[in-house]
Amino acid sequence: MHVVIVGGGEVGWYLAERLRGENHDVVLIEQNERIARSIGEALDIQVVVGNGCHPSVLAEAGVGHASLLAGVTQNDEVNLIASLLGKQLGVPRTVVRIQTDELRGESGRGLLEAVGADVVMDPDADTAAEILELIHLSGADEVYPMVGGQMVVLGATIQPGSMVAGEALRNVAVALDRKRQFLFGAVTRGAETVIPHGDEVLMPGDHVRVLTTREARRSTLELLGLEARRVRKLMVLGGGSVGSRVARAMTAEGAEVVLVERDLAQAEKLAAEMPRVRVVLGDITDIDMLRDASVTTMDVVVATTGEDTANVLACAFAAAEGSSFTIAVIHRLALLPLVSQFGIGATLSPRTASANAVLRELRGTSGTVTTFLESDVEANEFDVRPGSPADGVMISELGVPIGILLGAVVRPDGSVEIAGGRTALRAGDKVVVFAKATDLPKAQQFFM
Amino acid sequence: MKLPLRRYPSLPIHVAGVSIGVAGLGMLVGGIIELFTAGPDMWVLFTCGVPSFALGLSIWANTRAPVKVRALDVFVTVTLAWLFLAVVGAIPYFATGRLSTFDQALFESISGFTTTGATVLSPISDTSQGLLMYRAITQWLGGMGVIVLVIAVLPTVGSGAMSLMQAESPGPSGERLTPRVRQTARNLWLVYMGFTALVVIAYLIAGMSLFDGFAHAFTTVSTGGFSPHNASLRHFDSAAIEWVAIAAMFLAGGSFALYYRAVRGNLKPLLRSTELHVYLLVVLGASALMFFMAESDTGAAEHLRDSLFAVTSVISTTGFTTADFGSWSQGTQVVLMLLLPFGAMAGSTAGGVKFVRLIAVASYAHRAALRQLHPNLVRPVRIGVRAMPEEVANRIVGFMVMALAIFGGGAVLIALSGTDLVTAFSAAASSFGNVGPGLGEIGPTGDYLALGRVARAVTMAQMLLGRLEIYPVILALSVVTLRRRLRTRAS
Repeated sequence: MHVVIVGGGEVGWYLAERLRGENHDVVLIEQNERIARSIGEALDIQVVVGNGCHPSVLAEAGVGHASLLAGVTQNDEVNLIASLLGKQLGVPRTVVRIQTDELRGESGRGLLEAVGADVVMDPDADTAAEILELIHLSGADEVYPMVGGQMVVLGATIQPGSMVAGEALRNVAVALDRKRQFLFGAVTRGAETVIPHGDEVLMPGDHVRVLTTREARRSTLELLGLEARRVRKLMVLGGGSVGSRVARAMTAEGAEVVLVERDLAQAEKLAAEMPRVRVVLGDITDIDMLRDASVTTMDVVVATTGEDTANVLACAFAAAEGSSFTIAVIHRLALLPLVSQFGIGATLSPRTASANAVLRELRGTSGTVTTFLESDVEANEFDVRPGSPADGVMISELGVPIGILLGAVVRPDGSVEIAGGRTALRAGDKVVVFAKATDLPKAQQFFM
Repeated sequence: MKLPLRRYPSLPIHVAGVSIGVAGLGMLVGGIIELFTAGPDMWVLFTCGVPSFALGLSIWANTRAPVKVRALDVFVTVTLAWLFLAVVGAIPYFATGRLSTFDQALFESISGFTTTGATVLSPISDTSQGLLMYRAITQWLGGMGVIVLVIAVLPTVGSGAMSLMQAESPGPSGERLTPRVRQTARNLWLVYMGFTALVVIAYLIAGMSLFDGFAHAFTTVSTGGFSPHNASLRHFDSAAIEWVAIAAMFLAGGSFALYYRAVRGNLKPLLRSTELHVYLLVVLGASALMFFMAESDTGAAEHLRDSLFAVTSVISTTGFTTADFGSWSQGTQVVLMLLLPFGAMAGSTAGGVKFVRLIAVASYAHRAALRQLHPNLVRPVRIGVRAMPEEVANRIVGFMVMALAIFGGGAVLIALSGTDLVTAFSAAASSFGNVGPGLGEIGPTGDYLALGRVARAVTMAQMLLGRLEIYPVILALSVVTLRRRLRTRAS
C-alpha cells in the first residue's frame, strides 16, 4: 500500500519506520531539509522536501494513488489542511494529529468532518492518559488499555516474595485464579521474550505482561508482589503538553501536585491556568531545586520533558532520594533497555501509543493494535468472521501453534472472558491474541 | 457661502468645554424645578445655567479632538474636565447666597461631583428645592462619569476615547463590552439610567414624594449620599424606604459592566465574580458584627436594619445615614472606620480602593510569603481563579501604596489643623473613599463645617484624588516637568 506521511517529527519518523517494517511504500513530506535528509538516510523510504499544505508537494508525494495520508506535524492547521487536500485528491482515508483540546472536543467536530479526518490522534494526550494509568497502578511499569478499556495489559516485574514466583503457569491458574481474571501473555527473561505456555515457570525478576480485567487489575498486581497505592503527592517535571495534562488530571483527583518547568513564560502560563498546582521554575536536573521542592516526599515523580537524558537523570535522582515511584518519558527507544538499571519505576514512549491508531486504520481491523516497547511481541484484537476456522469451536479444538496465545474473548454483548481451552468461539466475538509480529499472519488466518 | 470654522485641536479644552455645558444643564434642571415650585432661586439658577451651557457649547464647537491622542493628554483631559466641573459647579451655591464663601461652595460642588456626599449646607432645610435638585444631579452626573457621558453622546472624541474612559472609571481595568467604545459608554449610561428609573419607582412605591424620589434615587444610584433632609433617610422614618435604600446602595456598589452583561442574558460573569462574593461576604460579616456588638438600645428588627444600612452605606461609599453609629460601641466604630476607604466593586459608581484591589494585594502578599518558602515558585496574582497579568498587579500594589500615603498624609494635615484623632482619620478616609460622613465631629449628626478651612481644602483634594483614582491627577500634575524634560531632550 502507498502511504503518505506529512511531518518528519518524532511521530512521523516512528510511523514511517513501523509502516516500512510492514512492507508498505512510504513517502514522507518534511519541510526542514536537514531533518528530511537524515530520515532519508536512516529509513528506506522516499522523502519529499516541502510544505504538506501545498497541493504540488502532495502530488509529488503520490497522493493520487495513496491509500492513507497521515498529517502528523506539530501544527494542527497543517495537518488539517493536508487531510482536506488529500481527500480532494482522492485519498480514501486520512489520519490527523490534533493537539488543541478545543478542536478535539465537541466544538471542533464540524471542522474535522469538513476536512474528512477519519482518525484523530494526539500522541501527547495518549501519553498523558498512559501516565495517569501508571500513576493509578503505581507498581506496574506498563499499562495498555485493550478492547475499549474493559481489559488492560499490565507490564510488571515479578517480585521475590510473589505468590506466583517459582510456579508453572498451569498451576498458577488452577491455584490462584478460580474466577479466571488474568492471563500471562508474554514473559521476558533477560533479553528474550516468549509467548508462554502452561509449563512455563515464572521466576522473580521476570518481566511479564498480564492481561486482566479492569476490576481485577489491582489484585493482579498484588499477586505479582506489588501493591498499588493511592497517590497523594505528585511531582511533574516538565510543563509541556503531556506534563500539564497529567498535572491537571491529578489535581482534579485531589492530589497535591508540584510542577517544575524551565521556561518562565510557560511556567507563568501554567500557573495562571492551574490555580491549585504549585509551579516551580527551574531545570529538572538541578538537584538542589528538586530537594527544595521536596522531591523526597513524593509518592510519584513523572518526568515528561523532551530531553530523555534529563528525564532519566531526574527520575534516577528522585528514586535514589526516596520517591516511591518514578515514571520517565523516553523518546529514543534504543535507550529503554539501559534505563531499567537506574531504579526508574516505569518508562514509556509517546510515539507508540499514537502510532497504533494509524496502524489500526491501515490494517483495516476494528480493534486495537498494541505494540510493546522493547520487543516484537504484540497484543492484537481480531474479529471472528462467520465461516472462519474459529467460528463455532472451542479454543482447544482450534490447534493454535505455540507462539500464538489467545488471551481473552469479548462477546457481542460486551461481556469479557479470559480465554481457556474450553472457551467457545462464535462469529461476532472479538479475540485478544498475543503473538510475535512475525507470527501474526498465522494467527490472523484462524479468524478470517 | 459660509467659511468652514477653524477648530482648535485640543482634547483637554474640548472635553472641558463639554463638561461646563453639562454642568450648565444641571443648573437649568434645578431652575425648572424652581419654576414649578415658585422657589426663590429660579432666576439665579437660570442666569448661571444658560451662560454655562452656552459657554460650554461654544468651546466645544470651536475645538476638536486631535487625530492622535497621547497618553499624557488623556490624564490632563480628565483632570482638567473635573476641575472645571468643580469650579463651574460651585457657582450656583455661591450665587444664590446659600453659601457665603466660595471655598464652601467649591467644597459642596466637589463633594457632589465626586459622589462623596459630605456637606457644609447646615441646616439643609434652608435650601431651595431647585438648588437641592441641582445638588443631587451633580452626584448623578459624577457617578457614572461626565466623560463617559460625553463619549456616549458626542461623536467627536475619537481615538483617545477608551483611555479617557479608563482614566475616569473606577477600578483597575476598563473593559469593552462592545467593539465600539462609544457603544460601550452608551450601554453603561443606559444601564445606569435604567437602574435610576427602577430606584425612583421603588422609592415612590415605598412612600416618597416625587421630588424626594428623584433626589434620593440620583444620589443612591451614584453612591453619592446627598439628601435634601437634615436627618438624611431617617427623615422618613420608614422601614420600607430604608430597605429599598439598602438594596439599591448594595447594587450601586456592583459592577455596571457586569449588570449590562446580565441584562443581555449572560448572568454567569456576574454570579461567578469573585469580587462580588467578597463584597457580599464583607457586607454580611460586618453587618453581623454591628448587630451583635453595637450596644444599641433600639429593637432587634430596627437594629438589624440599622446595622445593614450603616455597613452598606459605608462600603458602597454612599453615606446616607439612619442610626447615629457615632454612638455605637468603640469596636464597631473601628470596623466602620476600616470600611470607609474600602469602596465596593470595580466598575461601580463607588469611590475608594475597591475590593478587586484588596483581593489582588492579599494574593500578592500571600505569594510573597510563599516565595520565602519556595524561592523558585511561579504563581500569578489571582482574583478568584483568574490570574492577573504581572504589570496590572504591580500597578495595583503601587496604587495601594499611594492610597495609603494620601490617606495618611491627609489625616496628618487635617489633624495638624486642630481636630481630634478620630475626626482627622475618618475625614481623610471618608473623603478619599468618597463616602461622606465619618466619625467624631463629622459623624452622622455633624457636618464638615466642623473642620477648618485648611482641613476642608485637604479633603477636597482627597475627594478628587479618590474619585479619579490618583493616577490621572498625579500624572496631570507632572505634565509641566515632563514637558520640560521632553523639550531638553529634543534640543
